Amino acid sequence: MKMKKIIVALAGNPNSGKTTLFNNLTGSHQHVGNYPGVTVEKKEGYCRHGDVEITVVDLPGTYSLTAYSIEEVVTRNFLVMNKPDVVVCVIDASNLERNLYLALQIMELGARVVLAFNMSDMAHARGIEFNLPLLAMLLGAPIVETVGHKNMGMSELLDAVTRSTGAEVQPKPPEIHYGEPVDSAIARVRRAAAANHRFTDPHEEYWVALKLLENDAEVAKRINSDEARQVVLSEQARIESVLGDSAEMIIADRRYGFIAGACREAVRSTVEARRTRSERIDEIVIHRVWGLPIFLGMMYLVFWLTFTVGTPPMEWLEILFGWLGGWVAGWWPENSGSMLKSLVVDGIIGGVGGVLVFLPNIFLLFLAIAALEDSGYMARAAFMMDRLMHKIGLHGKSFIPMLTGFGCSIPAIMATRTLENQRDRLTTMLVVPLMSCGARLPIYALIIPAFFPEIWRAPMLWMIYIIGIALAIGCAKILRATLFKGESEPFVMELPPYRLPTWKGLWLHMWERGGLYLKKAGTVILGISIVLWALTSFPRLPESNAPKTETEQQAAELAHTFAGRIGRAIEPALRPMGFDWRIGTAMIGAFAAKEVFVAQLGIVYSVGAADEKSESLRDKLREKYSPLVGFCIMLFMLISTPCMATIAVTRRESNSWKWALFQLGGLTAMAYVLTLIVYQVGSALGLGLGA
Amino acid sequence: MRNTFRESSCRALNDTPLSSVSPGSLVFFGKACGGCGFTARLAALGLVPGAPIEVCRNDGRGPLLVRVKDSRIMLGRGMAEKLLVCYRFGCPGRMMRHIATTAFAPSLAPVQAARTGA
Repeated sequence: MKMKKIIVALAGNPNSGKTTLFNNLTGSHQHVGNYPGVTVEKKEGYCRHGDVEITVVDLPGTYSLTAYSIEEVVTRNFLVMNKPDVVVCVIDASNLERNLYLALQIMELGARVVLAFNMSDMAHARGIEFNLPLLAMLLGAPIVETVGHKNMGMSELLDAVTRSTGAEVQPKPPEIHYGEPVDSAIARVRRAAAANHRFTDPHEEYWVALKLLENDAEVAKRINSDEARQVVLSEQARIESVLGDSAEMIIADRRYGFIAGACREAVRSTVEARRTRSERIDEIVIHRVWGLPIFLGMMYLVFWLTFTVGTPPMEWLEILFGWLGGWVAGWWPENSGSMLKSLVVDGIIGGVGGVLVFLPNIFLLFLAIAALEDSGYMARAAFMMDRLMHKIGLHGKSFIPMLTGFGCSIPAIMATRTLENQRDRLTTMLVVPLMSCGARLPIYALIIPAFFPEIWRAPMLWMIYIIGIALAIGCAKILRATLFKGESEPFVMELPPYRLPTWKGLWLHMWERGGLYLKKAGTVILGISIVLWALTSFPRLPESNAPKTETEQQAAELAHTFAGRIGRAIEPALRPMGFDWRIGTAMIGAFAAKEVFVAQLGIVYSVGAADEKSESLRDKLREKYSPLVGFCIMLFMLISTPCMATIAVTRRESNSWKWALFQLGGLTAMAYVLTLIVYQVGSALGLGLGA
Repeated sequence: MRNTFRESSCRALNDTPLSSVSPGSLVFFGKACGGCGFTARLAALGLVPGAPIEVCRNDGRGPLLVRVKDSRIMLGRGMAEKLLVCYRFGCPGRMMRHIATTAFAPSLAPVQAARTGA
């Protein structure tokens, strides 16, 4: 029997529990698109129900189908262009009216809609009762009650979805009577638009007319006819003169009127509204006085967790890779000069292993960020940060991409999509790489224990992160005062109720982002490791002019290679910062991906080492450089050159090479100047020069 | 200069900016002052003329916290300054319209009849 295949889109307000439903429906059968690819904005998954194969598409959470933010445009374009078979509107049942507003707009698009009243247990607990059959009839769409975090109502939901595709009848959207003079205005605009544009179905025609009256820029661009524009303007003026409010406002008002009417018929609230638990928690968490210390404590906890809990597994991985290297090296006779051995052991295992070792830390960091997001604390953080962010010309919403930036700059830059104003968005995008990302962690994790005593390690790390934040603030302020002058966009954001994150949700969230790191280690970093290994191995020094001692021999060999030559060529520029050519070669690798810095140092040192097992890399560094240089390395890596992928994403999201190159050049120049100052002043004062 | 003019013309309508409403009060949304660039966004969050707004928090600086239709929304101060509201009995015209649109639920009766009939 042939399977029937359908595409189902999940749409809904942010915080309606959409992602939880998506995870429940698709389980582990989901894939997030390429990295830093196109599909991160909408996730796809698969499931089977009876004899129907369902592709589920998770669309970004939105409040409406206007075209103000990019997420809304993504959602809308998918619904309009791809025409999924069914759209499941996920609705927070305890906040019905506003959630139905979006659902209504989706129905107006002419889509086949199934309404999922999610978190219905919460609604019942709050004393809200629904007459579901009546409500379904009034709204013209089947309704299913679900409880996402308890995995209830999923098969009923799928039943409703498959049943609605089974029916051959066209979906019948609710006919909202906008009343006069709006209805006649719609009819007139419709005629004008249809005169210039071919529509596939009458529904689209109706929707386009409505959107034109609502001043929708995207649709206006699509229709692009002066005649239609004239009609729209005159109709808008007529509505405003009759009703005293803009057409946009009247249309929104009538939609709410329709919803309110339906709710009065079919929804009863038996309990008087009382303070919810979330509000009581918020009294402490966003308290005027306690809020900030709680926030700082949370942040400290996140980093403490990342390092304290992450250290033992990191050490196990270190041992594992050390053993692996030794085992593989054992395949060749001792002291063999085999190139292949050197490639596998020093290049691949040393390079990729050096990066993979930090996987536990990175996963823990993503886990902590996922917990902050899923619990709802992130929005509180934005609330508390709004005032501070305001001082630098941004607002609380910009804070979330910045916090995500601690994990990875790429999702952070993509998260700037929630910012409606292009100036706000560019400013945030440009300073995000200063938030010390997860890939920079391996560098700190290598350097800090190598140079600083136990008690100084945590504060040192804390300091590096704080420097990054301070610089981001400073840069944002400068950018807002110079390049991106102008009023900041109004800040509006919902404060979602607190929710206990589910393990499944946290796991998927963490895996989704951490997996990208793993994938990068397997692909980009593997390739770079091999290239860098080749650069540090070739060309080889001719045997004939063998120098005196073994160490001198190694030094001569390394200096003779490509890497050595490049490093030496740029050494004069790096010298004032206290760096030598070895660090210089590592920094070249770091442009591809920050964590390669560690791998590269490992390669540089093990290639030139007398006995690769005798000392760890940290001992080598300690021997070679002073703590001041160690600090300067961290500082430079913190500020300089975001990785290639970041530049590529900035280019894509800002839609211009100009900003991407500006970011690259500006940050590198700043890194150079600041590190130079720190090193020179530090040296002059005799700080951290070690024994 | 232009802003001050706009503000004064809005004030003339006897509306108050939301930013100056003290916490704990219940007010009704009037309109957004200074262009309708975000009317649709506000509407999507439930802010339509006549919608009740409960001010949960207003420290006099920093963002405000308000309750609109079962959800709590943070508003930046700059935004709150542009939202004009009126106290319970302040704007009968809008209130009446809100009552009219909700109480008579204009479109429902025919739809209901059509659907039960079909």
